[in-house]
Amino acid sequence: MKRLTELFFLVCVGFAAHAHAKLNVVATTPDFAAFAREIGGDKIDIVTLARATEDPHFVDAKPSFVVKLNRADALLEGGAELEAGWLPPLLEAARNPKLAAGAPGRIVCSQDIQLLEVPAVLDRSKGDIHAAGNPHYSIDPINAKTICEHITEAFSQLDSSNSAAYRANLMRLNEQIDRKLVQWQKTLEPFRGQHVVAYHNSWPYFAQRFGVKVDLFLEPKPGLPPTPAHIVDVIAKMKEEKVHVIFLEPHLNRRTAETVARNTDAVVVDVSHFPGALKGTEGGYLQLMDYLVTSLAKALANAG
Amino acid sequence: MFVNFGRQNPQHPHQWAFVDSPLILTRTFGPEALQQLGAQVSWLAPTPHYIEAFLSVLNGRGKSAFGFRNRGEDDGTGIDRFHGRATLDRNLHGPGDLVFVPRLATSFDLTDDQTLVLGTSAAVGPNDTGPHTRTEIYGVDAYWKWKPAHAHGGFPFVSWQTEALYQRFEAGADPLAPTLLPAETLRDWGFYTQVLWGFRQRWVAGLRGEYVTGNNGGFDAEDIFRGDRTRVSPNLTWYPSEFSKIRLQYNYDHGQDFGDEHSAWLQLEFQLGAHAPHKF
Repeated sequence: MKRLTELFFLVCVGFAAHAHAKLNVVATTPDFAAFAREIGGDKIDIVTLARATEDPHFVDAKPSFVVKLNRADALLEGGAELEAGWLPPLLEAARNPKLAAGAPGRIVCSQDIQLLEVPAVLDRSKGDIHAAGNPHYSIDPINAKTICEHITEAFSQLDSSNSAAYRANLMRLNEQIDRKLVQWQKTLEPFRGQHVVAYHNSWPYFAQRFGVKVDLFLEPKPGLPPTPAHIVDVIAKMKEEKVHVIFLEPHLNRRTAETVARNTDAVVVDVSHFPGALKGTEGGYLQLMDYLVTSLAKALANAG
Repeated sequence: MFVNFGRQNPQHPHQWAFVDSPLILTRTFGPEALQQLGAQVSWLAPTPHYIEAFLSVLNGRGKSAFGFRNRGEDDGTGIDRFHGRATLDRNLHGPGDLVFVPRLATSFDLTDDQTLVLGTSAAVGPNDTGPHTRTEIYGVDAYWKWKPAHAHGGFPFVSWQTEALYQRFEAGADPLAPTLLPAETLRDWGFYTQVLWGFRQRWVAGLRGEYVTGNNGGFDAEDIFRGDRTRVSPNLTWYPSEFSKIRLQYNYDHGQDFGDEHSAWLQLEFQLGAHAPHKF
């Protein structure tokens, strides 16, 4: 009888513990996952669908993602159509009312963000452009703060018992970003106005925040692979404007970038929007930004 | 809808990896695939592992319900025949006259780079060769895909897809010649297996091997495609953009009743308009 009573209490405790289960959060890409981790800490369980090194436009909508979304309390998505090629069938199959459009668990990170490069004309001949604007907005630290505020509001609404912890984490993160932003801008100030070539047009927010110009691309149009004619053109322009830095994300063609670098006495700088894609950036957003700012400053200093 | 049986039948032709449909699928579902008016319900099992069950209920009538309430082709004298029998209209008297297509699918992430999807499906319903005759089709399917961590635009990748089907077709006696063509059970089975290698952005090399066989029916003397058949098809596809493709394919076709046939195919396709993303 005593044994049975012990077991009964054990089961009760088990249920009580379950009642304060962590928030199940799914993020489409690792940048949002990193923000969620900063805000949520150990109060959330986070799963990321896209891998840090893969092309985020073309993630396979694997059936295992359906289960992850089905069990999620919240979804963080870009909201600027970056995931348009793979997220919709997953959400349909996931059948999760918590993630329905407009539901508190559907966290659209582009909310309140001023998107750049909103197209005046939406036309396939211009390449793979997004109707809402350039979707690679999370890299700008000011946008990062906006996203994190939004995430904090959402998490607090979904899990009010921990809202104090979420807000404390937000305050700490904001302080860190404010302090670091001053440092980053100081590091890149000497290179204001200088040009950088990128493989894909995903750096306008970084360019705007730090005063560098990223307006020449190896892709002739967004999403189109570099053509020989266009590469010749890029090399000529790089020589004319004395551009010596090429941004390359992990999933893009290194050989093409290195060929251009060889012909223009330039250096290829490994970059990413996603913490963890590059060695030394696994720690999260701040570490990623430190890495990017330092790498770029070094490359521009050596080129100059 | 393109019925959710196996992997290829639910796909629109523009999604196919080869110019043509596999032999076993045309033998069971006909040249138009199994597409029908109907309804589908599906259920995601509340398990940490992906398991999904589907049930489609179809009207099951017409040419695109090939092995079901299909009157077949006019034999030239104004009589519709299917598998040699003059067919009759099996009207819908009750739920037993509908076609049911259950399916069960599960998936395994073998590694971060590899996913395996396994499924099994069935399609059962009445056919028009007799007042009580039924058709049963069973299939299993497997799909494996590898895509590395640094994939760009979905490339490189390797995928392997296999489907095997078995059909049991109760053919009634020909009402116009019941002794010449008595009731019999026709059985077919076959499989196809295809490997695709996206070796470079926008380029895919493919290789498909297939085999179909079945017992011969009383009327089969006329049908050279009913016997054993083996086919091998290598192909190469180039996608100038996500919305267009150019494909070159060679088929080596060996039929028990027609010997060796060789054919080469050039396919050009382009899409206009918005299109939702495809399922995995």
